[in-house]
Amino acid sequence: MSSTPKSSFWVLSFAVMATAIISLFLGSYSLDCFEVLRIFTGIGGSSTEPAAAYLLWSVRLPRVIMAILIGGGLAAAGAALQGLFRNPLADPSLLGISSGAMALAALGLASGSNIRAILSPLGDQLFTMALGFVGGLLAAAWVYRLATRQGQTSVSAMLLAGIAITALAGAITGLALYVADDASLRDITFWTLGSLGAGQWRMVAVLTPIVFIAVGCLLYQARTLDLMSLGEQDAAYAGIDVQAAKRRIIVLSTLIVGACVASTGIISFIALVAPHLVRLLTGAAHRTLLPLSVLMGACLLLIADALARTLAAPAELPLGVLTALLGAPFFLWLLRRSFQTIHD
Amino acid sequence: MHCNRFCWSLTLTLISALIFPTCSSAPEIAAQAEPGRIVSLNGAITETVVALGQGRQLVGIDVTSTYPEDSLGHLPSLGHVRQLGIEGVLSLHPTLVLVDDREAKLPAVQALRDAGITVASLPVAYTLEGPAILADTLARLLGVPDQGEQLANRIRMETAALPATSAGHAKLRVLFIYARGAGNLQVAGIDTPADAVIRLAGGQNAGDAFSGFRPLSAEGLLAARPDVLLFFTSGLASLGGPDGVLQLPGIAQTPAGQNKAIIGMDGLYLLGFTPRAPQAIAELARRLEQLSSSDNSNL
Repeated sequence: MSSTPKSSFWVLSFAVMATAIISLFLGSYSLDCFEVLRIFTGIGGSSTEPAAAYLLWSVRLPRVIMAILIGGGLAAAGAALQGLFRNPLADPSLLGISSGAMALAALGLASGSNIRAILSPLGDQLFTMALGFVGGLLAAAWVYRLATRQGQTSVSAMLLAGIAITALAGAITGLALYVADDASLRDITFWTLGSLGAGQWRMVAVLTPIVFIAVGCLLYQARTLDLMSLGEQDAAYAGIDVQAAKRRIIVLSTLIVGACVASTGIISFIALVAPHLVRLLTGAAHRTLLPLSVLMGACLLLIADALARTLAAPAELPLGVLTALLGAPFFLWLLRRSFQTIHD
Repeated sequence: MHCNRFCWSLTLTLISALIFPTCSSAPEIAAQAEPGRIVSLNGAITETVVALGQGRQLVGIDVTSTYPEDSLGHLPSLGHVRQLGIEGVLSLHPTLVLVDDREAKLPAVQALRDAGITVASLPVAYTLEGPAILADTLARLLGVPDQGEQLANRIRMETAALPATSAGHAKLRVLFIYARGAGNLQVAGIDTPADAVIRLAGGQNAGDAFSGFRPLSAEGLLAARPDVLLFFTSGLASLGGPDGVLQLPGIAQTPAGQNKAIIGMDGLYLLGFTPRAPQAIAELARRLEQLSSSDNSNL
């Protein structure tokens, strides 16, 4: 079932382009192809409907770009963390990053009327984003500290600490839900389900540099990750500063996940499933796994979001629910499959 | 460091966002002769539009718009206003979008304004005057002030006809429970629509020790000593009816549980402050009255 990385790269790149372009044409607002082309190129006069131009430029386009950024970013973070922990189940949510981001953002939303009333809508949105981001970083830093003894980070201790921090963050989110009024409750629920519906240019502007820089830096860690997958001692013999590498990879992944969760809420399974799909296609070498995961993640999220927008039109399905619905069965199949290989 | 640069740009954006608020909170309501295609994102507003005889202009509603069913059944629902998809609204080509004042500043509603859609935010006040004011405001907005006056007068007359809250005997302590299955029960404190309706119907809110909604606990229930439990019909159904409610821990020990004093009423009707609000309050008052008299006969 494996193909060459190079052909996979081209196929996936093409798939991302194609799904992105098709996504621009899809939606509950019916626009024929010529109308879309006319709005984007400006050829043949401006559109007859001002709402249509707004829809394409300010709703669909930023949304498609967000799907690519977040899908690609989450998948890269997932692939790197799985490599680092030599654990195919490693996922940003396991290390408490997602739930940490969630907890602080939920607190911010629940403090609601008092603090947020002072802010303008834009300030309000960025306030929540910043809180989510800080929450993710705090959780990751704490997990990392808990798991580090005398300069050595134990992977198993880190996973355990991740579970503990996730529980704590869950309690904080529960507290936020307890004190929240009805309106904030709606916002928090919306957030736990994840959605690209709020995707706007200012979010794209904040996300783009973070995702590009962090993913770019992660791609440079491919050789390190390959060596780490042999075991930490072997990696150290091969001349890798294991501690520094761990720190680098965790910080970069947190940066991506914190920013993504902060802007769209929790979108599950992309970080887990995309790298697995790529491993099925081309194998586990990180030099190809990382970039291909980025493409795969972008493609998966584009498809999921297109479904979220169109299945219940004119209402929208929560994206996080959809990715979980699509991702969980795949993951179960994956588990079954790996058990079978062990027993065979 | 790129991280630093990011922090700076984020700080700058934040500061500029705080200094230059983009919101224009004043509702811009101008008389409109021919609104044409209306999307209403609030149950009380939708009901008032229909009551004004303008139901045929509606092209989309939200999930809270449930009455009157005959006029709304065929309309596409856009979900909850707090989970609004901008594209979904635009796809209905509305010329006018109606929202509750409280929701006028949501990002999605702002985005609709940016898309060039006329958005009118209307007052939906949790007072007896609220429905009449809404009818008046909405009628002027839709260019049918006469129907508005009629409707507002009708509401005011029904309000005036409400029985004076009986001061003779002690007020019943009523606890409103918002239920979505046995695991998700919230009780209404003060500053809630439920609190307003209970007081207007001549009862006393048993959840008067806190504001907003709180999760229900057996202990809190015993402390509140409710004489009557008030539910949405849908909430009552999610618990398996009155029998299911009596199974909940703590309920059987309250006066309400012992007398099986459980009332279920439709959510929008009871707490929506729609044109039917006087009727709803009258009905609740009547049912409370029945319960308290049967109470007395038991003694």
